[in-house]
Amino acid sequence: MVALRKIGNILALAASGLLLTGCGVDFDDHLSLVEEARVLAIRSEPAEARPGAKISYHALVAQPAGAEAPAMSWAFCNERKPLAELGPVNLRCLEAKGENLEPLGEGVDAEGMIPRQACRNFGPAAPAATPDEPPGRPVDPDATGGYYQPVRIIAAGEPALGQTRIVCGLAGATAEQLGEFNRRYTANQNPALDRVSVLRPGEELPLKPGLEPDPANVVRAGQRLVLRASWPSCEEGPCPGAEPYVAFEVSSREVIDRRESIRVSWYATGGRFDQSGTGREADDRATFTENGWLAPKTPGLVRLWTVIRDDRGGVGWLDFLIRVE
Amino acid sequence: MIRSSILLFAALLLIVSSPLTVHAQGAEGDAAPTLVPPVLLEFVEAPYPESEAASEADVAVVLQLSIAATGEVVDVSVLESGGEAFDEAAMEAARGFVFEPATSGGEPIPVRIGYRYEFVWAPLLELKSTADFKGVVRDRATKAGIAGVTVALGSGQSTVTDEGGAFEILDLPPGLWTVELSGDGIIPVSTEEVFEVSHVVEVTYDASVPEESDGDEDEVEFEIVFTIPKVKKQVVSTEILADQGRRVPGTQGDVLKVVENLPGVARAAAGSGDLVVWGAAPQDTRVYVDGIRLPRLYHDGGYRSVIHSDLVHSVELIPGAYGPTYGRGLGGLVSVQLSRLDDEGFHGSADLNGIDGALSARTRLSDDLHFAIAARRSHLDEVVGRTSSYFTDEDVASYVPIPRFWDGQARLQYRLGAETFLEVGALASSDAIDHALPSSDPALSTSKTTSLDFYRVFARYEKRSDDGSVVSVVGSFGGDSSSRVERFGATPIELGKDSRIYGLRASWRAPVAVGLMAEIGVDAELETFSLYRSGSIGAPSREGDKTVFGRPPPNQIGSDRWDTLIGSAAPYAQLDIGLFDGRLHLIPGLRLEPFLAQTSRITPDNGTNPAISIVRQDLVVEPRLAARYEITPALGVKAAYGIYHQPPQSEDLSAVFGTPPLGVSKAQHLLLGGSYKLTDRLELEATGFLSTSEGLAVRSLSQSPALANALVQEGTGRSYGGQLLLRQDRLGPFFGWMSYSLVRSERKDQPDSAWRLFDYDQLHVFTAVASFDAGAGVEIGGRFRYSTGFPRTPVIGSYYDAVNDRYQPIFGEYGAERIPSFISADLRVSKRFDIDSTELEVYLDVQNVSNHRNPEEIVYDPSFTQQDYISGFPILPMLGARWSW
Repeated sequence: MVALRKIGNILALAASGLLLTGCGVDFDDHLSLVEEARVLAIRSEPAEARPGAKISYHALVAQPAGAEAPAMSWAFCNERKPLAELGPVNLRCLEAKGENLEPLGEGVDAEGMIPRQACRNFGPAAPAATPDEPPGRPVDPDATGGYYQPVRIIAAGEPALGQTRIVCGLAGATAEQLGEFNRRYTANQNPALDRVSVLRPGEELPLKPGLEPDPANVVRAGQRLVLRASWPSCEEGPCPGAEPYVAFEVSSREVIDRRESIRVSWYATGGRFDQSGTGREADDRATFTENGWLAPKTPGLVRLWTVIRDDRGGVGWLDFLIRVE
Repeated sequence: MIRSSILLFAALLLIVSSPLTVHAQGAEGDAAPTLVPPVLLEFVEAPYPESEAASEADVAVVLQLSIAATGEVVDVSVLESGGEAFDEAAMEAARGFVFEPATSGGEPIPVRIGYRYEFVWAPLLELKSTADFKGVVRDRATKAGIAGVTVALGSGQSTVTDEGGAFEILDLPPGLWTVELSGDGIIPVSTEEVFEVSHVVEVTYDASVPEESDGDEDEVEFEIVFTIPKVKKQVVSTEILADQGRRVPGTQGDVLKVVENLPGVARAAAGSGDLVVWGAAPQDTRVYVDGIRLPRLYHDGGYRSVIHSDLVHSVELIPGAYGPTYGRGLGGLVSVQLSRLDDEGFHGSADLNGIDGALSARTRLSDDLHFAIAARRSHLDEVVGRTSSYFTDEDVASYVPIPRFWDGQARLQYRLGAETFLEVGALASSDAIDHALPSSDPALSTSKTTSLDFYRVFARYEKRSDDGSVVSVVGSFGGDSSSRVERFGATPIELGKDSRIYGLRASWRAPVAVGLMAEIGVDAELETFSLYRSGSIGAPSREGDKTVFGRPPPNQIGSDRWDTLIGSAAPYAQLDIGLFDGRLHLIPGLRLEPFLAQTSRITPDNGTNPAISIVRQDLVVEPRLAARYEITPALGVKAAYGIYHQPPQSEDLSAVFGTPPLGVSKAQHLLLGGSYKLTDRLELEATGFLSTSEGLAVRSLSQSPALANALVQEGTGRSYGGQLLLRQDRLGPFFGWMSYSLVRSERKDQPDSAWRLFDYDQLHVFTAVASFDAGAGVEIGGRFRYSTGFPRTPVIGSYYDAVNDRYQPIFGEYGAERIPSFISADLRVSKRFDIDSTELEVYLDVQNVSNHRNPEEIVYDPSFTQQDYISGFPILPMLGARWSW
């Protein structure tokens, strides 16, 4: 598959089937390897909130054993991004200080209140009107129908971006559709991993989460493992799995039933994963995903993190301490 | 009425012999000094005396001229009278002669010489509205005339060469006519000549006739030794005839691909097929086939053009400052002329290579009715699908974007009169690309499907009258249908566009006085669109966006469905004023174009508000002026200026993704240049240009743009630079050209912002093309290309997007780095075999023979800490065969 992606990259540019010799680029995918302190995830609790609601944040900061926790500062960013900005937020959100940055505190955790103007800044409400000017353009929703309040972390001098899904209502829906939507919609809940297991022929051996050494978390040096991350089955929301939900689809202008897709990101301080991320599409009802991991060739302790994300902005994670013998 | 006759050229009686007296200084010693006679440098024509016109006699006057050591004629006397009036006229003229003085021992000396001045009576040449054509067909080896060669003109007139190989055709209607030479044992060849009123075109065609026992496949090869300079229709343009174009390496026999090698054209990214001319955006350069606008010149991937080469007569690239005949574009113009259908019998070709297969056929249905049909279909996907099993177990064809295309053309031409034609025809083309890159991570799974189909149906009427006038009417209608369905993770992108296009182009062109050609016409086009777009506003990205290859688009999505009508009917007029015996041409023109644009929604559909349409009208006046001056037969200069407007793109008139009331954009082209004929067939042409544009639609930079105002017309642009073209027309077995373009293209997104590099800026482009006929049906060609890489915006940092679990780039200055330069040498070898009355050509086209690694795009690793390049074609051989009959 890697070879195909490599060829595909070339041919996406050249639109040619003839470039079948190696002309592409094969970067070393090192995203899964944690070599220094890094923010891996930002979780807001609750995962979805109205403007003015109280909210708490927690960052997953990965770091090699023995490393010091980096200094962190939090802030809401209330600056809209221009249409010409193709990134997720206005780049001013990444600055340490600014007129539209609303500090939330220091440390791994933070608390605050979703800005009351969030739906006007980042949602379907039109921006504040200016005299003699036409009404402003509201923000488009994402594919799940969601709008998001940016929250910024600066950890060890490096910016990272989190976002909280905000409850703002719908744009372009009729009153009937809005009523149906409000009646049936369930706010997102952060997903959670049930377990992460090592698959062996005929058996599934769960790893024990936490930072304490455990006999279940022992592997041989250089051993190749297949890891499986599992999450709860979810027939109706809210629940910590792939939740069903209703969304207002902008193309059909209908309230439709959907289900979340699930992604799992894999990180470790040693060894090598086959993929940095795996997951399940929305129409895939399986409640697990698998990834290969090649343990380090030298004995020692390895920290391993698995982060689960749903496509409505919810986040959860588990971490493990693996002894490599 | 009688006009004064012309001289007869001087019979220079000169020199030291009687009756001349040479006052030479004696040289020292025994050696006699070397005496060199004077040479006439400036001849003055004496008028035929009106008082003697009735005599209609040819008269000679013998003069004695005293020439000073300076070469000046200081005294004139009559040695032998021809009559008083003739004597006076001859003496008066001779006083104006200028000589290179005679010398003795290298020193100028005064001399007296005898000079015979002849008056030849001839009736006054009537000012004609027609042209004459004279020439000789010779054996190239012996220079002896060839008798019995039929010289046939596109005007319908023809003649046969006499015993001396000479021919003459009088009273031709002016214009561009094909000249076909044929005869027993001769492979018909054709060329073109331009005929102007009251002008005589004199040519010599040399033909090499092999020895009878030679057995060479090339039985006869014609070479045009000399023709008068062609009158160019545009001040700056490069026209390539089909027969020449298909022999250019890298074109794989496709005539229209030669455009990529012409001066002023940037090298497109591999596989894009974009036409970037003089730094203009690809969509700003228009493509016309016999006056019918097409949405594209090349199929996806840029491998093939959309018109079969057998139906193409020539292709002309006009990079800017063209006349009022065309408009609606800010950039250049590609004009494809279809060949005239006048074949005798049944002709055609079949072409097969690794990319596609093509067929064409032309036949005469009756004396006045001709028919042609051609079609092509790609099979690259099948080739790759079948061969991929040799190197991978995966089904490559289902993962990679292999273009699939076909095109077809049909033409029926009816001759209503000697020079009156009616033609109906149809053109169609289809392109599709599918590919998917699945991933175990839903956020990285991507798929993309694109298609573009179009067709045109047209009717063309053309009448050339004996008075030199040409009436042409082309009506057409057609449809374009394009689709782009893409998914990047959970973010969908969908863009569908269906349009109907109606075109009418009518013109009348005629000589209205001596040296004055007039053209009036109307160019009307109406296009109705039905569009649907859904997905991220950031995809596809626009020029000026800061992004990198492969970056996921913003995940905010919108949706819109709208209808648009864009049309205009532009009357135009143009004069071609020939002055100083046609050495100076002033070509003023004017185009008046009322644009109309209607869009069905001025605000986004929110489910409740009614659709309120908006109509915008823009009336623009577009003066155009061109001038050419032939300083000497070899040296000419030129200049041109024009104003151009372009209606908005229908995609930009969405209330969600664009701005419905967008108006027309404007450009001004100015060019200056000159050309110098180093030999009869080797010409150097230099052109400098400046193009400015304003009112370009760019993304709003506001954090709170107004509703339905995602684009603003605040963009401005400028391109400037120059180009050199050294072109060797076919000389024996060789033809080729070298072109160099130096172009800087810049944009401003806001009036007060700084100039930045345009995404398609390509500072240096050098192309050298050569083809050599080695005989025995073998032809070898080469092409060398060098071009600066396109600018890109560097990534100077990144930040972690914890929601999407990906790093996002932080960009530096726009366009501050470039893709490394492109260097490639291509080779083409072909061998022709005569099989009965048919010809089989086998060719090998090898691109990038040195296997040079050419970066085509900059890519980054997921954390934007590593940078590398995606490379283009490695050495790429393509074997094909073409059978023609």
